[in-house]
Amino acid sequence: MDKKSPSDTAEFNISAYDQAEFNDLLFENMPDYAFVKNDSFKIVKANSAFLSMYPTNIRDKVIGYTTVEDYQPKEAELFLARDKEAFEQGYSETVETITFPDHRIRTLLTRKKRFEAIDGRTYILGIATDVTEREELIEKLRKSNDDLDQFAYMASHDLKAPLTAIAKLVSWIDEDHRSELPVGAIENFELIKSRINRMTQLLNDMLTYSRVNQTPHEKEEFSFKDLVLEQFDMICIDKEFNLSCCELIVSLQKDAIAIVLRNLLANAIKHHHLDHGNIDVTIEEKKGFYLIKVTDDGPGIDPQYSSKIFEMFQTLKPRDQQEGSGIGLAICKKIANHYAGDITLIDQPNGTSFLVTWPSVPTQQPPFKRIK
Amino acid sequence: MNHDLNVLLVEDDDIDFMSIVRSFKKRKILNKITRAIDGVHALELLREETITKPFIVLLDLQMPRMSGLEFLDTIRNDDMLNDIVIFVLTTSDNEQDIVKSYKKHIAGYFLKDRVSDQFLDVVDVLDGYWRILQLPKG
Repeated sequence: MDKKSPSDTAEFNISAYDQAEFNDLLFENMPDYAFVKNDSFKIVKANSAFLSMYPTNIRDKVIGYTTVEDYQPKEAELFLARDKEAFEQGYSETVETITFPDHRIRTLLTRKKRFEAIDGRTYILGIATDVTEREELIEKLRKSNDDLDQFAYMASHDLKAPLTAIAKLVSWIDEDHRSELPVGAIENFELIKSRINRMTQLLNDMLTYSRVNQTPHEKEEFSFKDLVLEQFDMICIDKEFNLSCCELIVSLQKDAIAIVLRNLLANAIKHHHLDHGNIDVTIEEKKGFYLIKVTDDGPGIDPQYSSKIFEMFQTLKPRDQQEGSGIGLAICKKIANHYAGDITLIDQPNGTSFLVTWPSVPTQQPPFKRIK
Repeated sequence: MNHDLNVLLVEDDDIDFMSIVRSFKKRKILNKITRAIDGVHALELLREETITKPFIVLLDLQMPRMSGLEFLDTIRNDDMLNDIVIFVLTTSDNEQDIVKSYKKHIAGYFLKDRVSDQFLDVVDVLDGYWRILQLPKG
């Protein structure tokens, strides 16, 4: 990068007179619709983009007018309310769909800022950005995400019915005719049953994945250690695992965290190369977020798979060797991301360690930064 | 005490129907099961009085032509039929479905998923219920 030479900076030192002219240049040429209104809501200044909203024959009826009658009554009522808000509180901001005087329908992000002029009167500066395409894309994306969730839900739900029917028929053949079946057929029946169980697990996990963020989880205060122990006791039933966990009273979305912990603990046990081992869970409070770490002394995961493991249906071993839907970590990631957190695999020589970051402060920020 | 348990089973799925019949047989309960494949069929059977009273209805919710909830609506608005005892047996654990069903005065709501693949639990409950139940005669 070039360094700024002193002469470059000097060129920006324009006089006060030039400054005013420069401001006009800026105002006039900005692509946003910019205007100034006085305290009786009349437009006293507008740039060419703003004027272009009006048909040519009425453009001389803009400056000095409220132009309210050029809009649909409902829409005008709304933007006048925002005008008032800006005059009273100093600032207003809204995303609004407006029918322009030339009959185009556009969606605008309009920010209004109050200021005082040398004459002592207050005005508002309005800057409206056309966000029609952006809003349309957001809406499309939202809809297609909803459709996808809905599809996954319907697919997994409807696929379960015939699967249950197959499971029943197989068990009936087994019950009624086991003694008449040759050994080979019985072996194959066992294989059919195990595949039915696998598919049931797959469909259940798909259902969970599609529904996971549908129920909003409220924050509640709880003991982190108790939650970890509770989840551990649910999963670690016939194996000898030691669990260590630090204590911290936290205020988080308990049910959502529980699902993540349950999946991580279950993985640590399931994928361990021995039927016994150690799991360590820690939580630390940082500025604005928590760091949760789940570490085991199992075989570890090759770092080259560090992102693949979070994808849907990914398993690192054939399912005949290790049962699993390949959805567990995808669920964890989906949940963490939903609450503006994340989950990653930590690269380390022994065992596996997952790091979950989870915001402790509300992440809902105003969508746009305010003009000062 | 009642004699054999009479059931009108409103169920569109053949395997589920077979499953329930099997469960009754397993419990050695001698009973008469009449099957309707959906709400419309069930209404026809009830209005033709094909089924000998007393009986109870086991109702699936998701069915073609007339769903379980639509069937409940029709029954409860029919002066001739509105005293029928109905149990819901469905895969839907949707809270709305449960609430709506109870508002139509069902006697109980069973989930297919939760009751194992054989419906033995449901059959046991219905059998015990039937033994001590008093229903309006005629």
